[in-house]
Amino acid sequence: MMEIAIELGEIEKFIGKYSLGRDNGEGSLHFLRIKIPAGQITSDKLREIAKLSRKYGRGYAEITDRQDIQLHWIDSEKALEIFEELYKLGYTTDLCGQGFSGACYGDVRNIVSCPLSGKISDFDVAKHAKELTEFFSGNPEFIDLPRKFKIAFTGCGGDCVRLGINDLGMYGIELDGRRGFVPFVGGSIGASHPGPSLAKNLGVFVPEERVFEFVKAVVEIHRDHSSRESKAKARFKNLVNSWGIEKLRSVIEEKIGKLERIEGIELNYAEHNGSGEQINGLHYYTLPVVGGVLNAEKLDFIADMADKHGEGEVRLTPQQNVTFVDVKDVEKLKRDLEKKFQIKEGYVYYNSIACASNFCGKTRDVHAKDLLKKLIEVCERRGVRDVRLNVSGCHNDCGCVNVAEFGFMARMVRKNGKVVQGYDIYIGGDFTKLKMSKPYKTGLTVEEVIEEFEKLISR
Amino acid sequence: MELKLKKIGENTYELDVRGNTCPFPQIFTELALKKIGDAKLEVITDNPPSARDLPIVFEKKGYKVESKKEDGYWRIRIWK
Repeated sequence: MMEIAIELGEIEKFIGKYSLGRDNGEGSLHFLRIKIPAGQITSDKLREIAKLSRKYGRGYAEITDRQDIQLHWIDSEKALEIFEELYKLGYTTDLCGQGFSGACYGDVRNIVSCPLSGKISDFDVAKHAKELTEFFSGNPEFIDLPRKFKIAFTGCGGDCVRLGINDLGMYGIELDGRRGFVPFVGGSIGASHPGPSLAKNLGVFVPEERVFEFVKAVVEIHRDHSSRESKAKARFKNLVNSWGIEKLRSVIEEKIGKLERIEGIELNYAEHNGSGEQINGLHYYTLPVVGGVLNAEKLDFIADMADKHGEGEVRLTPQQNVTFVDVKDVEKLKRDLEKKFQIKEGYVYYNSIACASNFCGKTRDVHAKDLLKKLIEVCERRGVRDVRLNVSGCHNDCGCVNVAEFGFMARMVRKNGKVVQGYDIYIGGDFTKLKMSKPYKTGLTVEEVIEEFEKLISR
Repeated sequence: MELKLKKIGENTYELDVRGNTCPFPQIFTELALKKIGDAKLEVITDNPPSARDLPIVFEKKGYKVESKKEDGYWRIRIWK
């Protein structure tokens, strides 16, 4: 049979490292999810992303809850130009293989890290996140996983990154003067089999020098043993659930040798809201960004502020905020930030998140980020600031409703003979305690949600 | 990565881009069409966003496009 070879030339370097995701809302057909390893980004690179946003994404940008920057309205005809720009910056994207119907083409997603890694203690866990990102991105051995794989690191003494919702959450501790991690395995709060699950303690101590081989071994186990029977059964949580912790531990040890047992480790609560002192005597300041929504102008401004008040670096947080590090004078920084941001201090502004359901097309009006704004208005009306709100546009739960203190999961509801956008209310979740939220009231219209929420926070 | 156009008929070529995420099926289709001139192209993709996009993009460019769902993939015929 006659065959003609097609030369890919320069395009080849993009394959396995870049993709566009599918949008279906706001007139956008494609999004670009730029991985920002450990959420750490310099002012120069922020400005470059602002340029990309202006040129290709209608000037819009958002911070995701995995510390990525996501652009929308990307024209697929311009994809190669954009990939070239990202390649020069040293950035890659998620491989959005979720479009495939089978258990295949999963990749390691942006590796999340404590945003203050190396700043409030000298335990720099972000270096592991960055090294592993470098290793997994575009690595042909790891771009056809049964499904995506999510990893997170903390080293600040607490869980500031929702470790328990990750396939592999690495909890940094000090044990007899040695630094390392207690891994939590098999978290994933989407609807896939066996349903929303929080990670379980593996009961071992992984010293820092063995982190790379340990993480690689776990991802290999996912690749080689997670179900390829169907997409719904292919997440790592399903394997962890069917094998159990002991079997998983022994398979890991067959690959990399014995690991030290450790018991009784529980996650501590941690947050990095507001400001605080760093170990070098300088300060950090976290700017709350509700829903992570920014634009090119604000990205440029953040970059300018990072240069003016710090050393030209910011950290994106898993709460969709921006943390300025190495700040000389926090009050001066805040005064400057107020020129472009309406700064509202309070737990609800810092810790609430919402997904991009307006773009992915899973919701009609009122979308997840819009509902979050309405709920915050209710909090302001009632003078309540100490609540955490999570809003998701569907049961894939990108907005982490399953670990919410107050969660809102979209669903369509019938009202007066019409099908309208509604939400279920969930309450009582706590990711640090590895406690899932529970449905409180279901099938409510947005008006009913607002009313119920107001009652709940007024109690 | 090797990309091959297979001759499957008198004036028809097949391009199998299964396993590629968006936008690569579209980019490879573009390259293939340049290569085969006036011949007909049949693209096989298992990526749903590409199955959505290919007809839109290539109809806009003046091609005729026919898309058919087969067993776990789409066969998209493109010709002038």
